[in-house]
Amino acid sequence: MRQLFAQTALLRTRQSILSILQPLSAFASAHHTALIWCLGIVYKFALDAMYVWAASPLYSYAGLTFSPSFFKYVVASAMYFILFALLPKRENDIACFLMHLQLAYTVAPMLSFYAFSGASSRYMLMVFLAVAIQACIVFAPAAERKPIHITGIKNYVTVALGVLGIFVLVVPVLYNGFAGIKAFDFRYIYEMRANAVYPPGFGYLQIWLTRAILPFALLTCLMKKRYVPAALCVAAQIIAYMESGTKFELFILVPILAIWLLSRTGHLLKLMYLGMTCICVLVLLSYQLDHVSGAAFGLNVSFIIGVRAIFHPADNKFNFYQYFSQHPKIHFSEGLLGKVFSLTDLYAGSVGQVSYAAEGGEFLAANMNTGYLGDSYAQMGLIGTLSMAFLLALIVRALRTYNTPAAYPLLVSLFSIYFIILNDIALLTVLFTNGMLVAFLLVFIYLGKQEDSSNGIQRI
Amino acid sequence: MEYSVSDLIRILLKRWYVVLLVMAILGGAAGVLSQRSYQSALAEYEAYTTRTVPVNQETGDLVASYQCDFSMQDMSRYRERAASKNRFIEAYLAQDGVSSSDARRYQEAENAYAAANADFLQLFTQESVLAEVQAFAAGQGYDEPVVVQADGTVSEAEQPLQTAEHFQLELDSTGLLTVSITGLSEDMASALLTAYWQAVEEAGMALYDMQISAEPLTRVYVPQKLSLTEDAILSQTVMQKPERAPMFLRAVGKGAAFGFLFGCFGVLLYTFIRDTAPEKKPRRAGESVG
Repeated sequence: MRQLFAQTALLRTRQSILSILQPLSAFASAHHTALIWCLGIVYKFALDAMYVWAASPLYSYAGLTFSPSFFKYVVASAMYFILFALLPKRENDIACFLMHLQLAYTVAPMLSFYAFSGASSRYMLMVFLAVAIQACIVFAPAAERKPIHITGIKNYVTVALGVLGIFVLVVPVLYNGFAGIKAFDFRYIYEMRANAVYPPGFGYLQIWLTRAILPFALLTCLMKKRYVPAALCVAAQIIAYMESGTKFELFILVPILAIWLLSRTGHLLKLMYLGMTCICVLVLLSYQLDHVSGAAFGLNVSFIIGVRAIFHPADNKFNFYQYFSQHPKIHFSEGLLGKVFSLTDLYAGSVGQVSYAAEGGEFLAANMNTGYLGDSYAQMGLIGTLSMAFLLALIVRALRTYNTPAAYPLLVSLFSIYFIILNDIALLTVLFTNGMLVAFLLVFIYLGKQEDSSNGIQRI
Repeated sequence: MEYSVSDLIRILLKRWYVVLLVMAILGGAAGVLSQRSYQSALAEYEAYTTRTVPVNQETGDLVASYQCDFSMQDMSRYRERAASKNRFIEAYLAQDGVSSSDARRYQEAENAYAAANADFLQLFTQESVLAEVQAFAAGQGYDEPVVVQADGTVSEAEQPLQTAEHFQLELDSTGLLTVSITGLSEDMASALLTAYWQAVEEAGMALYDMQISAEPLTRVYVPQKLSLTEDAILSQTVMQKPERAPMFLRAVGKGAAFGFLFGCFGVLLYTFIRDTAPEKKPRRAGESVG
C-alpha cells in the first residue's frame, strides 16, 4: 500500500515537472533559430565580460593581459559571427554539436583573448580559416553513407575489456598502494603522482580505460537503463582516479553525465550555449564578489574555469605561435610520425615544455598545454594547422554516419570529451593516446545490429 | 555495412600488393627523410644556438704600458719657484755668519726634483691633456660604437665619442703608466693613444718645459667576445645537438614496419569508403551521359 502511494506521488511529481517542461520544450522547438542566435550572441558578450572583469584581473601577470584594440574587437566579433552563421544549428546532429562545442569552448575564447590582449592577427586569421574550412568539409552536402560495423567479436571484446579493466584497476594498487579518501585532497595528489611507478606502457591502458572504455560502458548502461552496472562503471572510474590522482578522470564524469542528460531533452545545442553563458556569469560574479575580500571560493572558481579551462589554453595557442613562428618547427619528429620516418627531434623537451621555457619558465619544470590548433602550428605551421583541421573534419564526418536518434546521446556524450581534450592536447595524441581511436573501435563493434552469439560465447 | 574479422583479414590478403607497395614507399621515404631531417636539425641547431648580438663594428680593449720619465734643459722654473724660500734662508744664515753649504745646495736640488716629479706625475691625468684627446676625437668625427643589447634593443646611433668614458690611466710613483682604452675599435684606440701621447708631450713642454719620454713595455688589443643573443641562450637550453644520423637501414626497416600498419589501414579505409558509397540511381533507358 505504502509502495503504491510512493509510486503515485512520484508519478504526480513527474507529471507536474513535465507539465512545466513540455511547453518550454515546445516553445524552444518553435523558436529554435531565434533562440540559438540569441544564446550565441549573449555567450559571446558574456565571454568578453568574463575576460575583462574576471580572468584578466586575476591572471594578467601571467599572460592574460588587458590591452584592448577596437579594430581587433570588431574583427574578432566578425569572425565569431561568421563562424556561428556558417555552422548549421540542427539539434540531435552530432557533427553540429561538436563543431559548435569547438566554436564555443576553443575558438571563441581565442577571439576574446585576441581582441583584448593584442595578440597576433595573423595567427587568429589562420585559426579562423582552418575552422571555416573544417565547417565547410563537415557540412558539405553529400549522399549519406552507411555506417561500418565489425561483427562477430562483441562478446570476445567484452570479456577482454572486462579482464583489462580489472588488470588496470588492480596493478596500481600492487605497485603504489591505495591512497583511499586522501586522494580527494587535491594537494596530496601531486605527491601521489610524483611517487607513482607503473609497468612500462601501462599509462596507455590506464588512459584508454578511463577515457574511452569506462565512459563508453557507462553510457551504454545508461542507454539500456541498467543503472546498477552504470553505477559500477562510475565507481570504477572513481577508483581509477583514487589510484592515479589524475583529476581529469574524476571531472570527466560531470560533462559526460551532464551532456547525456541534456541530450535527452532534444535541445542540447541551445542548452550548451545557455550553460556556457551561465558559467561565464558565475565566474564573473564570483570573482567580483570575492576578489576584494580575498575569499577563496570566488577566486578558485575564476581560476579553475575562467583561467585554467577557458582562457589559459587560448593564451597558450598564441604563445606557441609566437615561439614557433620564429624558430624551427617540430615536423612531427617527437611523435608517432617522427618514429615512422626516424626524424631527428631538435628539441630537448616536448613542445609544451619548450613553449613554457620561451615564456620565461624553467625548462622541463612544467608543460604548457595547448590544443590541436596550437600544436599543429608548432608541427608544420599553416600547413599543419590546415591538415589537422582537415583530419578532424573527416573524423567528425565519419562519426556522423553513426548518428541515429538512439545512438545520439551516447555518441555526443562520449565524443564531446575528446573535443574538450582537444583544447589542451594535440589531435594525434588524442586519437592514439587519449582513446579517441579506441572509442571509434568500440563504436564499430558495439553500435551495430544486435548479433546472435555465433562466436561461441553465450550472453548471460 | 557489416564486416566480420575474417572479412577484414580476407580484404587485407586480397590487396597484399597494396600493403607491400605502401611498405616500400614508406621504407624508402623514411630512409631519405631520416638523413635529411638529421642534416637540417644539425644546421638549425648551429644557426639558432650561435646567434650573436649584432654590432656595427668590432670593438675591444687596448691595454698599453710604458715606463715614463722626464728630462729638463731649463731648470729656471723650479729655481724661481724656490727662489723666495732660498733667499730667506740664505739671508737668515748670513746674519749668523754662516755661508750656504754644498749640503744645503743639494737639498735645494732634491726639493726641485720632487716638485718637478709631482708635476710629471699629475701631467698624465691633467684635464687639459684629456681635453686635447677629446678635441682630437671630435676633430676626427669619432662616434660612440652602436651597441645592441642582448634583448635586441639598440643604443642611440651617432653619439659623439666621449673619450673620458673609454680611458683608464694608472700611474705608479716609479713612472710605470698603464693606459687602457676600452670598448673601441683597434684603429680608433691606436689613434687616440697617439693623440694622448702627443697631448702629454705638448703639455709637458708648455707647462713645465719638460721632455717626456715613454718606453713602451707591453701593448695588447683584445677584441671583445661577441655576446650571444637571449634567443641563442634560450635555444642552447631547449635544443639538443643531434648526436648522429639515424642508421639508414634501420630507418628503412622502421618505415616499412609502420608502412605495413598504414597499408592495412589504407586498404581497409578504401574498402570501407567504396562499400559504403551511396548507390547510384539506375540510368533510364535512352538517357545519355553528358
